[in-house]
Amino acid sequence: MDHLDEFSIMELEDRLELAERCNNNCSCPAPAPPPVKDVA
Amino acid sequence: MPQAETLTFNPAAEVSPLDAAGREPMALCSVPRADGSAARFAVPQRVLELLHLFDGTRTTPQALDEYARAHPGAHAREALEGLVRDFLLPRRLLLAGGEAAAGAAAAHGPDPRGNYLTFKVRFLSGDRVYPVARALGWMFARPVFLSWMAVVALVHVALYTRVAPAAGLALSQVTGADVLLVALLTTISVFIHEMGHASAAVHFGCRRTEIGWGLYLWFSVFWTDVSEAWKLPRRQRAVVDLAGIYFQSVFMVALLGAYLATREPIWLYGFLASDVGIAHSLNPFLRMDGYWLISDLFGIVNLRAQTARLLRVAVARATRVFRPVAAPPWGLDRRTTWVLGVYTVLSLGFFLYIYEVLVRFLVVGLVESLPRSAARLWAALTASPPRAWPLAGATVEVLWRALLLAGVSLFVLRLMRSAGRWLLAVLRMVRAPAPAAPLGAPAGRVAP
Repeated sequence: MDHLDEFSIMELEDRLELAERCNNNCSCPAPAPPPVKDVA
Repeated sequence: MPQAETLTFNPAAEVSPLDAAGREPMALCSVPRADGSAARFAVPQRVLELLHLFDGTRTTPQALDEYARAHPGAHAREALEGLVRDFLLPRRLLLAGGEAAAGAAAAHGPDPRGNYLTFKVRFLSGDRVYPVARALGWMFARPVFLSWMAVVALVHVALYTRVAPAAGLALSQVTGADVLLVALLTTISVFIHEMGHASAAVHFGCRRTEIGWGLYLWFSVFWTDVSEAWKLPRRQRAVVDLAGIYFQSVFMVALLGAYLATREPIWLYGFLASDVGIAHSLNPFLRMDGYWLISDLFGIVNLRAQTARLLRVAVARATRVFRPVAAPPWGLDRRTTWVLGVYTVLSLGFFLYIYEVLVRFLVVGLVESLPRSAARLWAALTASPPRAWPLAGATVEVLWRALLLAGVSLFVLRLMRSAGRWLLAVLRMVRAPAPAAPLGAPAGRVAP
């Protein structure tokens, strides 16, 4: 048994508040982006 | 560890109360690192008592004897020695006599195990973030916050019932330029989100908040380091967690204003993409706003690690049917343990689902589509005369697919490595002999 479990002492995890930088196409586990139409 | 050595409780450690659920009060011990950050520890009151016994006048056996006299039968001597040798000394909560005298009190570098970002680059130091964050503190005055929340609610109702249906948005009409512009708008939106976290932390008295970019699982993310917020009460920590969405909503209302003024759908796409981002950030199973919110509202620190620990204990207790296993005592009260149990079951379901989705759709789809995207990029590169937008669009497409594939592959590898470690820990528990002395009564047993 881990001694630390017995004492409930823990190193706290870093609090990094994350936010997804770009949720256009590249976020959700979706198979493919919407079709892209050229402007030129 | 030489038993007769005189150890000292690190004089550089800062101790404050830690607002966390548990059977006994917890303290927060912060040990500064050489780079200006700090290693932080959740320390139960009784362990803090033990640390204070290491005042430089007692040898280790004397300190442990004194502790045993104050808490007879609470812990086996071997367990106490293990705690000192395996945790308190390596993490520099205790220092050998010479180290304390030499002022070598700083903790070692960042613990790589705590780093859940694959890549991490800081682009705004605490010195740059602080003045801006401080100037925005008025946003957290109660009347400002409440009236703004009412505005945001009304704006959403209006948008989804009237504005968006009337706009006639068609994804098939989205151009390469639109894709890049929406990416730019969401990037600004997310940066404002991060300033929200930083501003809340500074408003409640934190000094060191940094902002940067990184790769989390397969996501490209901005991050704000608000680790100092561990010292805040749970309610304030929850405000820090929600402040990102709060600030982001200001930018979104501006986007809607731009749409109403110009009728250009790009602003509306920016708004909708930000809303999708907010919904995503409230997912409690990834380490995003929702995760910290659950952790802070219920006072479960290191939520992910506690989930793994609960599973280990559950497996160890189940295995006791076949051979005697000492399940470790459990620090959380019954209600919090139930919350953690429900969260653990839902997390498992979520990760199994994600794993299935990843393997079935993403990896297969991405691997299949990469050559096609690369061919399009090659065609755009060799086109004569060269055309800027198709080239930019094809480049972005190849880049995000490659980044996604790299992120997913790393995620799967990390998941397998974590599962391996977890399995080893379970095996160690199952094989461990029963302890020589009865375990601490106050800590109790796990309530499954």
